[in-house]
Amino acid sequence: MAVFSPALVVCLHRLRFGLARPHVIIGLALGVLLALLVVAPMLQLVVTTLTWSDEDLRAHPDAEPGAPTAFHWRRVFSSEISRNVLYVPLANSLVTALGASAVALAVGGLLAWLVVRTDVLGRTWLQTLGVVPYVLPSWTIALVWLILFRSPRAGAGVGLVESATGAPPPDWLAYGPLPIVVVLGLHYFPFAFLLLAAAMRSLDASLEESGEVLGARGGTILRRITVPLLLPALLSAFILTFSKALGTFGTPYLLGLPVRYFTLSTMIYAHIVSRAAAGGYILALVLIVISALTVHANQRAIGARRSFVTITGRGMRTRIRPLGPWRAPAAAFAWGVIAIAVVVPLGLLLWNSLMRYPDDYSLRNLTAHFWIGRSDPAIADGEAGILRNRPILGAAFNSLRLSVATAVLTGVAGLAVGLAVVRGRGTLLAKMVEQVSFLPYLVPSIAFGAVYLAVFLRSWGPLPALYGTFALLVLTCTVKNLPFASRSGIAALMQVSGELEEASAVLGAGLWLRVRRILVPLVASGLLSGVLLAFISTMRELSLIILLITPATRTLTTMTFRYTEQGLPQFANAIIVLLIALILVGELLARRLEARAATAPRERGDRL
Amino acid sequence: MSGAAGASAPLVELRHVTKRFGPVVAVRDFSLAVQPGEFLTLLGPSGCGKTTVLRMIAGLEHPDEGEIWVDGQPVFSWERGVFLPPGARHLGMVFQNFALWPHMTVFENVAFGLQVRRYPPAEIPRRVEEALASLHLEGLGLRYPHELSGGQQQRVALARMLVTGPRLLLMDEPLSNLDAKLRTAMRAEVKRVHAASRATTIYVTHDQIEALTMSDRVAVMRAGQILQLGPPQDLYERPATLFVADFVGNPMINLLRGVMGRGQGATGIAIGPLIVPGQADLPDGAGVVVAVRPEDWQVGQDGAPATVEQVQPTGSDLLLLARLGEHTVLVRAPKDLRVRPGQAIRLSVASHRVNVFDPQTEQAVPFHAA
Repeated sequence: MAVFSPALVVCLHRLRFGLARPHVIIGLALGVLLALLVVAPMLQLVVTTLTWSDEDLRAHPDAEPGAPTAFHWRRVFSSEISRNVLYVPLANSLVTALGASAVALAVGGLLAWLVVRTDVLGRTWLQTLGVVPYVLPSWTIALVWLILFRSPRAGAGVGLVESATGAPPPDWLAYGPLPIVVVLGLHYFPFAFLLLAAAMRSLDASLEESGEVLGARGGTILRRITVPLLLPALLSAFILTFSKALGTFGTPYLLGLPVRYFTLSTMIYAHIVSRAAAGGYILALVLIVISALTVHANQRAIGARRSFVTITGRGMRTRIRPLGPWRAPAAAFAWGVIAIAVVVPLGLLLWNSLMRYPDDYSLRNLTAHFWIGRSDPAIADGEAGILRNRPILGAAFNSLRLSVATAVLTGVAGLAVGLAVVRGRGTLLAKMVEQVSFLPYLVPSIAFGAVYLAVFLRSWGPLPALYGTFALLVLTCTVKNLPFASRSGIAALMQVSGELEEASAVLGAGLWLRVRRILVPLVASGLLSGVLLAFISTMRELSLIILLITPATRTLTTMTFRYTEQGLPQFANAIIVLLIALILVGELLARRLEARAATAPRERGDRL
Repeated sequence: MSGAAGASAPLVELRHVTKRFGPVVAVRDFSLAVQPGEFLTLLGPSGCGKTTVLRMIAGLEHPDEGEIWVDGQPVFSWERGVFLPPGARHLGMVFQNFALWPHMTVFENVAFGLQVRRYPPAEIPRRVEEALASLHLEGLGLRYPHELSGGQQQRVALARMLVTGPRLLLMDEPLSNLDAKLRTAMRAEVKRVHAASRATTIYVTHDQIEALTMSDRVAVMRAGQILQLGPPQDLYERPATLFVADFVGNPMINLLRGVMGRGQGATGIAIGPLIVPGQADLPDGAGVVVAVRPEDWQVGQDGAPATVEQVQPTGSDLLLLARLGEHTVLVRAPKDLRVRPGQAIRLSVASHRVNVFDPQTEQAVPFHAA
């Protein structure tokens, strides 16, 4: 020892004692994994865009694959096609994402206010139903929009409106920005609803009452007290909706493409299927930068305000405001939203899946063929109904195993991140793990898919070429869901006082025993919500995996897509209904499990 | 003062232990020896490092320097690179929030340590039942922690600590989460546990009543260091620093500015109109701080004139706020004293009852009757 400098000795000791702590080991392992799966792929993506590839040989025979080039960047940013490839789609992306966020915030905020702060009819039901649109795949309502307003240019005959009125709906109503904004807004409003309802619930009525006592009017109270207190939640809801809408693929594809209205996400897809991947990767990077800038701006804007909404545990009251004469219109609005976002879509989808010809809305056109029919060459190119159709059932199986695997893995990862972050609080390592596990959140889904496509087409680092394997889908979905799983893992572990673990450490319990007998039982129910979220979002995931799917790894979501493209909407709609049914069954099972976990100790205690 | 002067080897010994949290030094060059069977309390305000010391002994924190010995073995040594994990130190610990596992029954909570230490499964129920019985918890084994009262939860925590028969018990503010009445009862319970097990106990608290009533020795801590270590009575009667004088004792001690001087033919300290006769190794005219316990005042015919400002009957006696020159002093007087606010009284204090401090160093200055 004597030959070492004191500083070195200190370092060695730090290392030695640090490694004895499990959260340090977990943190280090996570750090390596995250660097490999999150940070490095992004760098790899950038390198790919700066390199000639085999694909380029078609258009540029003199290109030398593997050699560096700025060609792709020049082509996207400053060439005769830049306008069509980058600037117009970028503007379209921003317009639709902003519009969708505005719709979502308005609808979700109003609904939250009605449910939390007023005596609107059916409050408890609204509270449950207000979340349902989020459970549905994001383009469900887009398919319904097509059923209503479809014109022959989308294939598959005319929509319900044209068939009823005889006049084709105008293009601006059927396709393009307006329907995309409305459809996305109706899909994403549950975020705003959930976040704002929670914030309003934790807002002590006495804060507003003190303003009232001091003589402030309703408008002043709203402007000076209520809105500033809700601002963090408002901003979070906005950011969440905005970045989701930015990265979504299904809706702009279905409702934009027929009129050649491209957003960045559909443009990325177009590039990659037309074997101009590098351009698609650059667009993905643009999307990532925008998303990251928005989140950054949000965090700067909120800053210390985040701590406003605090749960003190003291008796808190929320005041219920009687609506008086407004009760009927308010109820009509609230239930109208639910009807338009949930009931009508499901009804129309089911109806459409039972139609022999997709544009004949009469009752004698009804058939169960697309559900249970045997193969019939006269119908749908001889494809059998979805419950007899092997590829579709295979896709259903794929969807289920992908979602279950993702949910389990994110649960484990969430627990590990929680351990490393909460138990190592204050250390540099913990901060890094927390930050990096949040990174996938900054990457819009379609761009994330593009990143993994770029990286895993070939063998990469210690990993083999995963493209085309089921494992790649699991990996992609797990890493993309990591931010939410980590947050629920961190939140769950925050609630478990370190003393509970220390008490067992003092008694001699090792790491594995502590995790198994103390931590897992205590955090299970908290972690379950994150796991359930991962399951649901993977079941209905399209944007993230659309670029990575191969015929062998098809899921239900990509199947609906294929059938829509083939002009067989009945199949697409039947599959969507099946998918929703599977999601609901999954959620029900999870809730049952959660309820059992929560009541089990009490029951056992009573019985014995 | 059992064991304080102990001839035997200490059971726990900390040698020059330092612990930093980032730039903050929580514990500074800390040395302490605890004798076998002793009940030693670390007393201090929050943030003084007392809990950190306890957690380093338990192995829940890693010191940055120094050595910790338990039972003749180094459990931590910076020099030798020794670190024994908590489980290998064979000690029992009670946490501030009890840290009962909410998903386990009382029985399972207490049995856990035995299972971890691989006691024969057939033996575990008997030992658990014994431990529960010794803490009057019979019949509660199948309850869950949330179905128990605060006092019962506390006793389960004690049972969980005792069941493996550790030689060293560590308690981190175990009573701070109980209401006042229960706390008094649990003080007796903790003392009884200590007396019955004879296990060396290190107890952390910010409550000086707990420290004074339960301990063989008390270490008063501030800013990561021990200011004074000794039996409770020493701390109370002969505080070594102003901080200790101020921190120990309830109701609070009177700290009065005085001047060394010569008046009416005798040397002494002048506190306004009051002269406390006696000598100290200080020049005439030197400013001092005189500490007087409220119960050491004598209300009577002799002494300096004072005016009663407030009378607070506590039931067992009277607390008076009285004006003495420029000072307002707190006086504990017998309950049958008939005084009203505004009334003139005379106050005096015996020279051997006061403690004198240098206001610069805040250290005690020897002072004795002439």
